[in-house]
Amino acid sequence: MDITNFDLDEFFGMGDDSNPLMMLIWILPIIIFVFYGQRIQLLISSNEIKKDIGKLEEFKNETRQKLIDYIKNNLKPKDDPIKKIDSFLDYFTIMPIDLDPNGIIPKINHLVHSREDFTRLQVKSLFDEISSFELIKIHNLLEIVTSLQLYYKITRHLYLTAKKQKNFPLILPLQMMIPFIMEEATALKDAIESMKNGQPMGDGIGPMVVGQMMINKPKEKAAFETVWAKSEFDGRQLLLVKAEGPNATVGRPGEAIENIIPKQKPDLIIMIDAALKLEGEDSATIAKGFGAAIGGIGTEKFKIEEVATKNEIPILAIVIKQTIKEAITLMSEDIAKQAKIVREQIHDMIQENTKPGQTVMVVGVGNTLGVSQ
Amino acid sequence: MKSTDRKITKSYSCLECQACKNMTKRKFESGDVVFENIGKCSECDGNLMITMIFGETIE
Repeated sequence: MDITNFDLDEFFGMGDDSNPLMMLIWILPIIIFVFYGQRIQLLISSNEIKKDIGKLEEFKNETRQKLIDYIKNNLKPKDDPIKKIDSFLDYFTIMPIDLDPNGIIPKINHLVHSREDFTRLQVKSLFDEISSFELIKIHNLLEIVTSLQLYYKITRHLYLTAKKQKNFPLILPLQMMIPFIMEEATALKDAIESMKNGQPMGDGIGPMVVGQMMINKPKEKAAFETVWAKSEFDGRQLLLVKAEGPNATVGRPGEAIENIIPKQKPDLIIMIDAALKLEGEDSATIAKGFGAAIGGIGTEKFKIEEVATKNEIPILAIVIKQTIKEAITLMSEDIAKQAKIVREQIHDMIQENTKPGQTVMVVGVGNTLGVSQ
Repeated sequence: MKSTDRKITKSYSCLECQACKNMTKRKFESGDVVFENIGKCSECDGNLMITMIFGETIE
């Protein structure tokens, strides 16, 4: 092909003998994109988001229906639970003012505990009689449906606001966030099944590790839905702490540690928890580190750090990496098999960091559904 | 239908005899709980305990 004869004017239809139609074909799209480019982008982006919002609505309705069916088919509610369940779904929590953050943790703690207590009372009021296992399970299922309802409402609000204002930049943050929202929403939807069956979830690996160490040891209550037991390893005294299984609860490990430390004065705290893996990392890999390994809103972590600092106790952590979906759905075989290896690593950690005669606190953090002790 | 939609998860319980350490795997049954004794070992009459409950995904 000879490119030396290339005529730019001719190519763009701008030559003397140019065709006005050709000019129009070139110029019209430019004008359209200059004035309506953002609206076209808004249209394309909003179509994608609309599909995801449709999925979120499906997830919300599907999980709500599964919860209602579970209550009706497996438990004996006093009346039709639909009206009350629907009213729970719209409950909101107003976080304390943080203009002056000093002293905000006890306020958040009080708020979270009040909400928990209130919801459990409300769930209990649906039945004449209900076991604590089923009560906590319904509470957890309710939290899943409420979270999905919240995701749906907020996503729809952002989408409709951007469309109403015909404002493309408004939809950009939503476009960036929607894959993460959908990942979490899908995980929540899938969590319903294992939760209903009372099966352990990936997050239960911490309680599973410590639960095995507690077998045949006398257990005592350490805090609300949290137990502890004494054990021994290689001349060291072990204080084992976990949520009270097999209920679907994370317990209150912060409160438990606060209660135990002044009496037992441990020399080292080891925390075992599930942690979200980074992209590219393998699931079920084990990592060791320093600091309080515990998620959640932060109040329990605050308590642990506070009491450990006050008593100058070092905190070591072992985490088992997993995705958000693995963490809240039925535990995978790979993760379950790591429990034995983690136990060996705890023993190594104890031998490396303490001397015989010292005391070590081992805390299994996570939801202990389906895992006893 | 996407490939992810076709995934089926089957749940299993792993049983271990506390005496002879014999391990068996069976399908999860309602009421199974990790670290609960669920009967006697058929080989040595020791206590049979659930040591793991997990899911296997079949594509």
